[in-house]
Amino acid sequence: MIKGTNSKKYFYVLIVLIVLIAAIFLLFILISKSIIPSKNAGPNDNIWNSLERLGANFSVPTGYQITEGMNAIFLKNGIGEIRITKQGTNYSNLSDYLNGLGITVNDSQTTEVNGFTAVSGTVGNQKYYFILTNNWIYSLSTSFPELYDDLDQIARSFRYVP
Amino acid sequence: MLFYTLKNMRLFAGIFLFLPILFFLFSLPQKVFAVESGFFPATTCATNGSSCSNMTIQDSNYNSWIGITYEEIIATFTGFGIPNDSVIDDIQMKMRIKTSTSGWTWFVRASVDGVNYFSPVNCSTFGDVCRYNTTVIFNSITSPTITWLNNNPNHIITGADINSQGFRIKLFQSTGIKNTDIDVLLFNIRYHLSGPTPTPTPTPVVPEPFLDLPWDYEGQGQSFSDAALAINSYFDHEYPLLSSGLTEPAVSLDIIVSSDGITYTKEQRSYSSHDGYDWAKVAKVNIGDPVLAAAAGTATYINSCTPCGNMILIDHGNGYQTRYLHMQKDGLITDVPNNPIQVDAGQPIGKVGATGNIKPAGDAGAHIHFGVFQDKNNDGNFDDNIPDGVTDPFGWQSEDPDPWENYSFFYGGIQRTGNKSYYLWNKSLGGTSSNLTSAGGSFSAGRYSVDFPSDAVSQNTTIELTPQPIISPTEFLSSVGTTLLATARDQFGDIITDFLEPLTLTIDFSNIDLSRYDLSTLSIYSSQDGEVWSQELTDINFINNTATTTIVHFTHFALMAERLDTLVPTTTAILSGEQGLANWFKSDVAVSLSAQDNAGGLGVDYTMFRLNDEDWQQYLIPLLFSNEGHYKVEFYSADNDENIEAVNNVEFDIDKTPPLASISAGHSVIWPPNGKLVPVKIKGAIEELHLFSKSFTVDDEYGKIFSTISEFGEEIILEAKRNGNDFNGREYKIIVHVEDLAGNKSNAEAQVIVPHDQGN
Repeated sequence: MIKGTNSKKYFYVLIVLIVLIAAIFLLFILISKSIIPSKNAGPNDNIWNSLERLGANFSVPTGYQITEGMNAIFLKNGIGEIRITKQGTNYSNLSDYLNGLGITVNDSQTTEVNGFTAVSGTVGNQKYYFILTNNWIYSLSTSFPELYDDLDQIARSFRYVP
Repeated sequence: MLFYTLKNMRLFAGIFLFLPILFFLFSLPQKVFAVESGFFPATTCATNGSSCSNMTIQDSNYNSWIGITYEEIIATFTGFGIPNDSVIDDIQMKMRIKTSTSGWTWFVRASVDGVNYFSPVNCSTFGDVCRYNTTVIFNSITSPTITWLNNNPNHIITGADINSQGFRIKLFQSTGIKNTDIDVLLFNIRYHLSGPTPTPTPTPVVPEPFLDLPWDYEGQGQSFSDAALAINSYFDHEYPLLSSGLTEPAVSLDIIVSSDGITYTKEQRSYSSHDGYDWAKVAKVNIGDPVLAAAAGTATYINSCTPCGNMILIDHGNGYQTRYLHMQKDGLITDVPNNPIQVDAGQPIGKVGATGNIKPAGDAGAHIHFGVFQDKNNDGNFDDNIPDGVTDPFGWQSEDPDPWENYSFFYGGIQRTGNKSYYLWNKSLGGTSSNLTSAGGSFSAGRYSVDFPSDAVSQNTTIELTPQPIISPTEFLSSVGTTLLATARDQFGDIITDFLEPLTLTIDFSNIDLSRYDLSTLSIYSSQDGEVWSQELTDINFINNTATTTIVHFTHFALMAERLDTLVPTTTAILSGEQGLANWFKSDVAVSLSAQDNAGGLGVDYTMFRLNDEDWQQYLIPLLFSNEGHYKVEFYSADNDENIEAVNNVEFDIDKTPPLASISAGHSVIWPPNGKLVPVKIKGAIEELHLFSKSFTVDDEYGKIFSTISEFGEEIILEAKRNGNDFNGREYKIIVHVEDLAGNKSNAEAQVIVPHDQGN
C-alpha cells in the first residue's frame, strides 16, 4: 500500500517535471522569438510594415529600428543592420553603372523587381541588391548573413513611388 | 517562480550579450587622427656617384646619374621636416625612372638602414621588365614584414629616423645602361604626433547662408529639397582631395563619408575623394540647360583644367568661391581666361555640358559638378587654399567630428588642415520640427503651413513637417508640386494621428505652373500610407493662390489635380536611302524621328534614341549611317506633361557589296557540229550571305534555246550545229544573275562555242 502510494507520487512528480520542462522550452522559444525576428517572416505573416522613404515603398519586418541619413535609411535590430541608399546616375542600365563605378558583384543574379531591373550578389562581405529606376540607383545591403532573408524580402517588396 | 527564473534568464542573457560588447568597446584603440604629409618632392638628395640637389616635381632635366656605368646605384633622400617625436604610420613613394636605352631593364629597392631593402609594387625584379620611363610605386613601406633599423623588428619608426637617415633607393640595372634620370620622386609620409594634443583653433564665425542651386529647379517644378537631394555624386568628408591630385590611403579608396556623418561604401555612394556635388538627370539637369550663378559675384573662366572641362569660378566676395565644371563651350558668360566679369544671383553663366572627365562618357554623362571653396587665409586668392579650402555647402550634420575639418596634411610645402563646412544654402532642406503646446500655434515648411487652435493637444507635442516627392497616384491624377508628410509625436516619441480640435492646412501654389492641370479638379488629398488617397473638402483661393482644408488628423497630404494631357506622344521613324527588300539598303541611310503629341496636348518635349543597345541620347537631327551592318534604333518621346511613350524600335541593314558569282561550263567547245543536242553541265558558286534571287539565262546567237537551268550542277542542252558561213562559230552564253536583299545585283557568264572547224 505504501509502496503503491510512493509509485503514484513518483509518477505525478515525473508528469509535473515533464510538463514543466516542456513549458520552459516553449516559453524560451517565445522569448527568443521576441528578441530575434523570424527569418522566414514575409509580408503575409502580418508582422511587416510598409515603409515609404527615399521615393520608394518597402515592406519592413517589425523589430527594426529605422534611422535616416542623407538619402539613406538604416534598419537596425538586435542582430545587425540593413542599409538602403539611393543616388542618381546617368547610366541607363545596371551593367554599365556597375562597370563604370568599378563594382564587381560576385555570384550576381539579374532579376526584375516590380518592373525594374535589379542585380543581387555579394561585394566583399556584404550582400547587395542594386535596383535601377528612372536614373535612380537604390542599393540595399547587409553584412549580416542572419539578415539575408529579411534583405531578400525587403528588396522584393520594393516599389518605386516617385 | 517560473517567471522569475525566466526573467533572470533574460537578464543573464542580456548581460551575456552586453559584456562582449563592453569588452569590445574598451578594447578599441584610442582614436588618433593621422597626419599625412601628402605627396611632396624630396628637397635634398645625394648619390654616391654624383651630385644631386634641388629635385622638384616635374623636373624633367634632372640628369644626376648620366654617365654612370655601375650596375648598382644608390640615392638617399633626407630633409623631410617630419617632427622628430612623431610616429610614422605609413610611407608611400612614387618615382619615375628613365634610362636612355630602352632595350635594357632595371629594378628598384628601397631601404632606410642600407641593410634591409624592400620592394615596390612594380619593378621589383628584372622579370617585371621595367625599361625607359616607368613610374615606380612603393606602398606601405612600414609593413610589419619589414625590418627597419638594426635588424630590430620591434623598432617604432619615428620622425627622427626619417629625418636623420632618410631613404636609400638602390637601382639594379643591366650592364650597359649609360644614362639614368629620376624625373619625379614624391613622398607621402603619414604620421601621428605622439606629443600632447594640439591647441584647438578658435571657433570661426558662422557664415550667412547665401547659395542657391545652380539650375532652374523651380522652373522644373521641383522644390529646393527635392532638387538639392537629387544627387549623383556626394562630397566625401574623408579625403575631398580631388582638386589637388593628392591620393588618399589605399584603405580609404572605397569609402565615402557624407555630410550626415555616416561612412558609406562605394557601392552605396559615389565617389571617394569627391570635393563637390554632381547633379544630373534625376535633378532634372539636362544637357544644354542653363547653369545659374549660385549667388552674385565675379565670374572667371578657366580652361586649363582638362578633367574639369569648361569651368567658371565665381568669387562671391565673402570669402567663398563656387565652381561650375563640365559646361559646354557654347553659351559661356565669358570664355576669356582671367577676364573677370560681374554676375547676379541666378544669372545664366553657361550651359550644362559633358566636357572634361565624366561618367558615362559623352553627352549621356552631362552634369553639373558644383564645388565651394573658402579663401581661408583671406588673401584674395583661392588657389592657395586648394585643397584645404574645400567646403561642403550642406555642412556637417553629425555630432561626431568632421574628418575633413580635422585632417592635417602636408601639401605644396605647407602644413595644412581641412576645412569646417557650414550649411550655405539660403533655403531649408525642409522638414521643420517644432513643439506644439495646448496653446496652439502655426508651423510651416516650404509651401505648407499648419495652424493649430488652442487645446488641439493636451500635452507638449513635436510637430514634423517633411516635404515629400511629387506623386501620380493614378494615370490622370497628379500632385501639384511636392507632397507633405505631417507627423506629430508625444513626449515619448509615439505617433499622434488625431487631434482634439480641428486644424487648418494651407498649401500655397502661387509659384507653380498650373497650365498642365484641370483647375476644376484642384483639391487637397490625404493618405494614411502614401498609396490610397482621399479627397479633403478644400477651399481654393485663386486670388491668394492657396488651397485650405480643415482636418483633425496628421498624415500624408498633397494638393492634386487631374492632368489635362494624359496621352503619350507618338514617334515614327522614317528611313531614307536606296532600299531593297524590307529594311535592307544598298546606300547610306538617314533615320528621321518624327514625334507628334495628341490633339490638345502640351506638345512634345523631347525624343530619345539609342543605337544598338548603347546609351540613350537626345534626338536632335536625323541620324546618318554609312557603314555596312545591322542597326537597331530604339526611340521614344515625352511630352511636356511627362507622358512618356513606350520604346519603339526600327531595325535595318546596310549592304553595299554586290554578290560575288562565278560560273563555268563542262564543255567550252562542242564538236562536231553534227546537229545533235549535247548536254553541258553548268557549275558555279555564289558568295552572298543575304541572297534574294538567283536566275540563269542562256544567250544563243542563233536565238534557239532548247532548255535552261535553275541551279548549278544541272545540265543544259545545246545544239551542236552552226551555219556553214559562220566563221566565228556559234556562241552560247550561260549567264547567272544574282541579287541580294539590299538590291545589289551582279552576274557571271560562261561561254560555249560550236566552232567553224575543229582548229578554230
